Amino acid sequence: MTSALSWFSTWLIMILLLVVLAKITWGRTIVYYLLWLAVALLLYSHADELTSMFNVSALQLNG
Amino acid sequence: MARADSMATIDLALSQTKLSPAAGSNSSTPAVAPQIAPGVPAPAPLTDKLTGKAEQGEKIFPEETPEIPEVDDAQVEERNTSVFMTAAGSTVNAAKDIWRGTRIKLERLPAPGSILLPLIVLLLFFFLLIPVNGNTRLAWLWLVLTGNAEIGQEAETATPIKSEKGGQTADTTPAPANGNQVNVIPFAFPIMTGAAEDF
Repeated sequence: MTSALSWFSTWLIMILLLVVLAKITWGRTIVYYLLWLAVALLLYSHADELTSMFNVSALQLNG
Repeated sequence: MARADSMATIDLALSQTKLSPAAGSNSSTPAVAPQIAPGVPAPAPLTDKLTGKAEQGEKIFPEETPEIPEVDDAQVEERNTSVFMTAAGSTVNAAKDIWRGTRIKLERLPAPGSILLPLIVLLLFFFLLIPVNGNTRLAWLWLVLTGNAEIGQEAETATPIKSEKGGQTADTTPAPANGNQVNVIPFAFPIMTGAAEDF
């Protein structure tokens, strides 16, 4: 429970910081590029899972 | 006072160099004594101020030594403090200029699509990558849309439907990369693994 609480609180603090930054003119640009960086990192880390959706069995409809 | 003394000196020199016509015959340039116009009263004899002063032992040019101001520690410390404050102020101003330039460059960077575009993409990844009860949310949605899963009231979870012809239906779910094991939730997603999804 403690680890989950610390994990959740860390995420919450980070999100709040991003929201505060987004309200500033120069901070909005930083948040924008940080979000795209997160997208790029997710693509890199979950490339196998994303590409596994495009195999034949996955696309085959139930007959 | 000094001017009067200098004038007295000049007058004394002139009076000493006054030559008579007979005495000035040996000199190349006969000196011409100042002639007083008739009717003009003769000037008063000049007193030898210089010689008078020398006889009296009075100093003609008193020695005046410039006064050296005394050095005060408080004044020195105050001067040093002012120099430090000036230097600190210039440093602060330079830092402000650098920050202003950086802020202007950040504001000028392009941001096509605003912040919503990457947020939408992240939300899409949220549905695409996090498995719930063996399938991702998008996979469950596909199963429901294709009729291969339904939301059952008994278990309150989506369950795959077995076909009437027997045997299980074709597995249309995306094959997990690591077999049947539940994927480890990556750090990027704020949802824990193994949570049962209630539809």
